Amino acid sequence: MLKTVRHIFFIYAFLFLSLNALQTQAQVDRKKSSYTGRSSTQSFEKTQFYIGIRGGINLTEVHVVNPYSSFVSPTNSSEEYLKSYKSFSKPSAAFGLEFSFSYTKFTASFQPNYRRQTFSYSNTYEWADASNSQNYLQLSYNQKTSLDYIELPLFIRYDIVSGAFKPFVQVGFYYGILNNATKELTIEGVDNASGTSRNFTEPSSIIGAKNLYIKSSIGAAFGLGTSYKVGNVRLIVDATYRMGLNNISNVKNRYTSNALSGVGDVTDDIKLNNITFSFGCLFPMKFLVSPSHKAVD
Amino acid sequence: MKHILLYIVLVVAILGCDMKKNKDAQPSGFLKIYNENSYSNQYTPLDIEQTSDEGFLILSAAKIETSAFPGIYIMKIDKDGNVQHTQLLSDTYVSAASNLLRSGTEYYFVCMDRQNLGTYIMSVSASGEATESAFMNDIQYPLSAELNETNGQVLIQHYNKDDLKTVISSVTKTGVISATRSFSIGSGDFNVEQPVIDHLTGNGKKYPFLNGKLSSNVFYFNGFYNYTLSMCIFDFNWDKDDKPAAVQGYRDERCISSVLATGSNQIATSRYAYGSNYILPTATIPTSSNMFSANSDLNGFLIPELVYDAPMALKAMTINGRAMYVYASTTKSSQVLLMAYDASTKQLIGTTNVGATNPFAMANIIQTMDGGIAVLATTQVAGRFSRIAIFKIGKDELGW
Repeated sequence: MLKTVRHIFFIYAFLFLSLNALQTQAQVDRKKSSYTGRSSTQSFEKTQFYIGIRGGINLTEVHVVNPYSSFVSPTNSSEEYLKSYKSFSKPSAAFGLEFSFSYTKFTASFQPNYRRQTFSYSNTYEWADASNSQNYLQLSYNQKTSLDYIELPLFIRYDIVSGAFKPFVQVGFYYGILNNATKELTIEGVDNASGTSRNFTEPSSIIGAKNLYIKSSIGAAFGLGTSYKVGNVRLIVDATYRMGLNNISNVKNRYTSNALSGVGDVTDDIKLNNITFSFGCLFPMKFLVSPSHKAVD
Repeated sequence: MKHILLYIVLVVAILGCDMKKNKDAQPSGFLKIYNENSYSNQYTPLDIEQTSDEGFLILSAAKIETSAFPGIYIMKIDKDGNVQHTQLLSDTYVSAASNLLRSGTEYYFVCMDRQNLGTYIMSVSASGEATESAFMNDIQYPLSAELNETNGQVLIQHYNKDDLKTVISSVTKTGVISATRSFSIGSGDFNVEQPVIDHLTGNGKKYPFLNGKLSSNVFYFNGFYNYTLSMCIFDFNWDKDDKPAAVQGYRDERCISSVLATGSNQIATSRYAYGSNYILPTATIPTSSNMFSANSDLNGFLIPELVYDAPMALKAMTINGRAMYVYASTTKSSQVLLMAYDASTKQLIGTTNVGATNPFAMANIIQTMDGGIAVLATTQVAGRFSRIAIFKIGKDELGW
């Protein structure tokens, strides 16, 4: 609890100071533009601050660094009980703010957001009787893991062309703070032992999994998109690929805090890759003093 | 802008410490479930011992086709739970007594001959290879075994069907019987024959047959005596006609379920009575010939979450520098419950539940070389396949 409060405090402090810095910078620029000559006006027009909102969907892929299972085969040492992950299969949402500072074609963009990243995998086991083919059971433990992060990404964006329609590329990095994690387990199988083949699915259960993952997630990000000016507002659409750089599984708690380890499920060492499709709306903070009250662009 | 970058670096530096910790971390324990793809194989673990390489030897009962008595399965795993060796013994050897006996760097267990019901002492190497050490045709129906560390002999509790007696024999590892003492079960309305057979086949109630040493010449057994499942205390040197001291139970419904000798007439123990289970971190027992008490007089702490007539493991351990008695048993919710009592104050230190999703039943516990606990359990994989499971719990995780 104390750690969560500390994290929230730092985030708010960071956002407050960032906004404060932006506002101070904007005021300085405004004052400068009032008292300086033409060259200063040109300089004023080269920069802009944007504050906006953005949201979108994302898809996650798991990169397994080291696989683990609580199941061990005493008879077959090559049996590894590997999980079968489904890449980019579960869409989730993200929403947040954007604070951008543009200088000619370059933009530094800070995009704090709250995001859920979801991935799924299954463990499939089979038991068969060598002497009686009627005795056969297959079970699949299908798991959907949802990780909620408060993410603090920073991007450098380059506008490929100028004008109302501005395609861009961007690179950056992010730091995510885990806020919550859950696992949804569904068991399905084929039971052939009762004289006939019977398919069955058991009701899903949701289990807290926050102890299975560490707080921090860092990574690099790159993407492309475009912005379009509508009046004084810039609409922005982009696609960003995030590449996780650290193992997010909690190594210490791998076996012991896992309610599902009894069915063979133990968290692998994993890094998350993610594609995010976002739509945003940016509001300029600097305006030229004119009858149309036109934003610097 | 410089300020913004500074703030970001500051936030990341403060919050990102866990990445470094995680990179250097090792799991404090593990859970391993030894699963086979076989539909018909069934394993019931009995005991676990740690070897000098920090690995573990596991003694288990295994269902075999040729007998109602369970076969014997030995497994050696390394310190991380990876299988190094397995051995399903010949079906000549069945119904292992539930103790793996450690004598220095050697390991032994006692089992029964499938056909003539005589008793074997089996030797197990640290790598998990089991070999026959001795056979004693005179000792039939072995029920429990313990090592007498003073003389290195094996104390075996066995059932004499013909004379209707419980017998304790002290035997060398090569099979020479050096002392023996018999205790009359009697022939009242409670017939022990079928319960003994059911115990040995594993198809009925598993009884807490125990034996061991209280002090220099004073020994005990928990077994059938005088129509009841009682704890009896005796000395091999007493006159033949001297009756043992006894903590009497009632039939097989009220009895002692675990014993840890803590003094010449003091034990830590547990008992069950008509399904209810009680913990007694300290109890005084009679030790002179022909002295009796009733185990119902021992009272104890009622532990309602345990299964009916719960099996109980009880070991003395020192965890995080604190001497304690650790009890382990099976809960009604199919978990293994660990309870630690301070060895001095007899107060409860803490409890831990292990196991989830699939049912788990406690088999035994040991303290590991790193100061934690290993819990041996039976789990029902997919709710139907009986398999061996081990929880290794780090001392930090226990928090005791």
